[in-house]
Amino acid sequence: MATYIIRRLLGLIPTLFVITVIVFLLMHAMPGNAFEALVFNPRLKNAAAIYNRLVQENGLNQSLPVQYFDWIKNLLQGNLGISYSLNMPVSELIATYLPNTLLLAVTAEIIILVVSIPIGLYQARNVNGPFDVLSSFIAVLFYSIPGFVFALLLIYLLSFTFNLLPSSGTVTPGVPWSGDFADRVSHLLLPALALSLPGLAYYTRLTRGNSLQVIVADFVRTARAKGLRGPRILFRHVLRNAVIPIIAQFGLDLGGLFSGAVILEQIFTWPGMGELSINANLNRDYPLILGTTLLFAITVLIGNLLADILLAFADPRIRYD
Amino acid sequence: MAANAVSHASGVSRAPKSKSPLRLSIERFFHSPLAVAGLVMLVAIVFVTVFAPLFTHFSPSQPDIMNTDSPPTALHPLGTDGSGYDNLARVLYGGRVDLTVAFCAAMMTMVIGTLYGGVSGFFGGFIDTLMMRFVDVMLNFPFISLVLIVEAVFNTSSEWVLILIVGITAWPGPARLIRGVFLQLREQDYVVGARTVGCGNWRIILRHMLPNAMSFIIVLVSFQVAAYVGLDAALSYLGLGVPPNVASWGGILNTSTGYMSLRTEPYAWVPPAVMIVLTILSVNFIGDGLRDAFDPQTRT
Amino acid sequence: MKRRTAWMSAAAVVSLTTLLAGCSSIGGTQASAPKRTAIPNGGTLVETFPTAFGTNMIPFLDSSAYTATADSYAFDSLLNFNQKDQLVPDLVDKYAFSKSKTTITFWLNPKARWSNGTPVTSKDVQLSVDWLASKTYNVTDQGAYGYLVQNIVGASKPLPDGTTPSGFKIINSHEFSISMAQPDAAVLPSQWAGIIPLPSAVLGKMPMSAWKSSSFNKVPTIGSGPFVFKSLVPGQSITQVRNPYYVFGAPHIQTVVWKVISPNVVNGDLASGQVDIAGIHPQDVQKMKALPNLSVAIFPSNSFGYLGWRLNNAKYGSVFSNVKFRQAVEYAINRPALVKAIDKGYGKPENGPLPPINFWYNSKLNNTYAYSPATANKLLDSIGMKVGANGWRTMPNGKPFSPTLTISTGDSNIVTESTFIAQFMKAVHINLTVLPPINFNTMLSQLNNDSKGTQPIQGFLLGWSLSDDPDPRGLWRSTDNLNITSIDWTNTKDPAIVENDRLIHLQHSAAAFNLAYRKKIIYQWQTLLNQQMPENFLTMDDAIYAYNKNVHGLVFSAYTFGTPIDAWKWWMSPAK
Repeated sequence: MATYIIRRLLGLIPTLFVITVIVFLLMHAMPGNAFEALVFNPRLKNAAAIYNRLVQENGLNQSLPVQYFDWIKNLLQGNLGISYSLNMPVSELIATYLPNTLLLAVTAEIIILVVSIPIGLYQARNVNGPFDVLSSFIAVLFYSIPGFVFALLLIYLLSFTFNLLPSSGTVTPGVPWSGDFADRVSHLLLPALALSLPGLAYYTRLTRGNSLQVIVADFVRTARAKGLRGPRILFRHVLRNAVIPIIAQFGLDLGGLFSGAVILEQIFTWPGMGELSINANLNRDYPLILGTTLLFAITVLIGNLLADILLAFADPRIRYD
Repeated sequence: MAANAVSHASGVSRAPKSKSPLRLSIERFFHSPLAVAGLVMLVAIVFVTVFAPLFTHFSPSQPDIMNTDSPPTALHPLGTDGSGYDNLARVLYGGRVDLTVAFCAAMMTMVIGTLYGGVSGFFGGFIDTLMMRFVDVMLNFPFISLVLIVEAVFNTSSEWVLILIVGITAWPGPARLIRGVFLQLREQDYVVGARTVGCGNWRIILRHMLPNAMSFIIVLVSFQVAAYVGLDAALSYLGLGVPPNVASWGGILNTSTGYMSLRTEPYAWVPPAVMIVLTILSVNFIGDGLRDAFDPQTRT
Repeated sequence: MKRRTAWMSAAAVVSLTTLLAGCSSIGGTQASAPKRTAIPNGGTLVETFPTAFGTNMIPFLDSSAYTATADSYAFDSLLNFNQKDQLVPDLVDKYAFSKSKTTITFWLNPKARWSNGTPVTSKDVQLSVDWLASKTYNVTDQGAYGYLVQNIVGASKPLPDGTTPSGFKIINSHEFSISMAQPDAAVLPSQWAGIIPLPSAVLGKMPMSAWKSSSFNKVPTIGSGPFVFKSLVPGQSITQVRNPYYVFGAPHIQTVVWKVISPNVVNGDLASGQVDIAGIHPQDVQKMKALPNLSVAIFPSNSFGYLGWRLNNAKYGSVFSNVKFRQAVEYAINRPALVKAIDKGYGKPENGPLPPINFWYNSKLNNTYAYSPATANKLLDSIGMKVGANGWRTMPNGKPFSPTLTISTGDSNIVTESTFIAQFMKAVHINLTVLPPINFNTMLSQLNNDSKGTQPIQGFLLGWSLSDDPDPRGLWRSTDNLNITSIDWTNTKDPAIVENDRLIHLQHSAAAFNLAYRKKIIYQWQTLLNQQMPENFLTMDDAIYAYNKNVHGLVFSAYTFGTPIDAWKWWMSPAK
């Protein structure tokens, strides 16, 4: 297993190389560049000169291979470049936006796990009972509402109508208690709820399905035959075996966590990676596109690796030759 | 999820000789009330969208500059939008786009995903490693960024562009999951048995492993369709959906979910929202029904 | 409103707003002085941006229009514009031209102080001029406001850091002069008035190359405007507090908070009191007015939307560049109906290159090109565009004529407008197809790189938001980059284009220091463009704000984006 992991980690390097090359080519295939809008500023009387200078300063007039290897050279020196649109070092931008994304994502995932696994287990134990049918129906219903509509409805109800929670941001600006624990939690609740609901439905169904498979498995029958009581079987045998594939699925989701939830971030003004990368694309902000892509790539690859390892734990019959 | 298809090796073959396994599955499907309700609902939705001209004589692409943002009237039961389009016509015709995108995109991803994942999981070893590295590469492009890039490069947006983008980008996820299932199936006794009696690789994949992965794939499809029905709505929010002059549920929903519209114009946003929810619900019910029908052990 | 916000967010650089307000004339101060005692002080005013702001807070450093707006509260410029677009005193309370009209002497207001109580001096102005002319600013930091000083003698090219252009002279701590080589009637209003003095006590001690990484750039806690920065959270909010030493007197409101809020929820924030003032859409006006806690302010804007044609298009350029075609299009579009349907009546048809509310607008242009499909048909017939068997007009040479219309994403009103325009064209047998919206940058790239006329863009919808001064240079001359969207620069032999360039030159000539003369020339120029229709002028959309009823004294100006002006006059009723 150890050699397998090391091999996989080394294998990440060529994969990362391929990914950045593809992204590099794609982003240059998009028409336009970050500075073209300058020419459309009626106040600039010498816009063309400024434009030409900016293109030159940023090396956009050089050939693509030269530009790419310049980027790699800087990357190896730990320099991700300076964002064209936000005029700040890319590393600084990621350091500012990534914590917000992680806070939101981790909270949402915790909500998902804490709620969906017990419900799924309980559904599986009393399969086709009234609770199973009703909660399955509600889960599917939540899953079927488009995420942004759900977010808007949540804000409409909890923030605008009942004034319970703030509608946007991560902290309340301009007050003495800005940024303390309660302030942050109150801002976190709505977006985390909106982000977790579709996942909640999905993981409930996953847990229910997996538990059903395990409940009929031989070892559970044996345990029951040995006279073990229901709850003990449920938690010691069923849960342990049903939950591993779910955790493997989590590994796959890990990469998605880092790329953020673009639409929810916009609605709740939650400054995170999703919006950062979308705006980078919209503004043809090449250094920022490459920087965010690199981050996503690394997290997705590590998440995949984790998923494979967990899957191996889940079923020892899977071999990694 | 991956454990779903395991441990029920060939339950289907225990059926009485007079009826084929497929026939039995279909019978089981129609015995599930929720599944039948879902099917009826979906057929009804497809019917009203395909035969939309029977229900309204307004065209969804005929603007009326003299009658914009009108509340419901006898002529326009759901009012009109900012371009003077009849909201009812937009909802009826709009389903065509959303349903086409959802079904075509789901089919495309599943076909590619099943073939790719199946082959990778069956052969394992070096082939698997190589194929999974490529999946790793593909999984790395955040979907929305990719939509943005492709639309920019091709300088257009339409439902077919959306389907294409989904098709070429969304298969790695399912492919991975299906590969996991095949990795497990590969170690099952009946596959090992088939191999020892000299069955060809493709025969084992298509005749022995695929049917046993089917219940898993069907549930995955139902989730995919569900996800893609809402896709246009989400992309419209970012201005990346189908062109706004093309009627789509997602587009209508997007233009009528501002605070004031939510509060004062339920006639504009509730119908498309209900259509989306009903479609996804029915697809899920059908998916559940199919899974239970193909997978006798879940009927415990 | 929506068009402008989309425009701003798509390409913030397009709408750089250096001359944003924050203060008013001294006369105004005296007039309102007696009332001030009765006005309560305190309160927090929450304003909004639709998308994130840039985080370089030193004036001129960031290209974000929102950052510039927040900066306009914290830093005042030398002179300012009032609601009538007239230059009024700000940090400078007096100025005088030399006889040759090439030198202006400025006197700083003795009351002008930084928020720490120290006076604003000529050295602070000099630092700003040096900065705008420096290599660090123009080259390393890629600043875009260098044009403010480029007419100063000795500053036409970037200077080494800390070098003062020879045309700038300090006379004493509160008096300085600026010189240009040639007299230019537009330089003061369009450039020098917008120079923002920088605190030399803080920034003067640092090399310019260190400004960008300084803590002052993150949160400039010293300012000369009514509200100075206190703190900010990147991507979501800025907090500013009142400047007790503000030149026109300390503001009443204690704190101003700028929040980034998604346009989809901003109305709800207004209704629930989480936001005090924000721009709204015309279709929400009546509904917002009906809410008990909100007032609505509607006023014209110094901007307009237009339908452009690529006059050099390889396929249809010969038609687009025919003035009768463009005139026919103008007759075929029912602009009052557009105002009614899209702006809900809150706007006006646009007749020329300046909006009807503009101080320099030639009102003789009113009611030109009244909606008349018959006239349009007659004009199109007259240039040989016959209606073919399929009901569509052909090119004069008999080939099919089916142009396309390109629009950008992110604004539903633009889509609606394009739908209507295609309808209007259909009524005069022109087969205009609206293309799926494309990203704003893609659109600009197609416009910028189309010298052969082979880009997919043919017709397009865009808008201009104008600066206070009507100087058309940079936009309308045949030699300007920007006219790729307007006048056909490939055809400079056209007498209309020669006339256009001549009039533009005259409007800033030495004679144009005479207001009446300049006005006369600008009138003639507008008449020319109204007749030529280099682009099809469509509508001027009103700016619409909803604000909480507990906010009082707001002053709205057509010439200022995104915020009311004269922030020091506003006050809030105490919370109950």
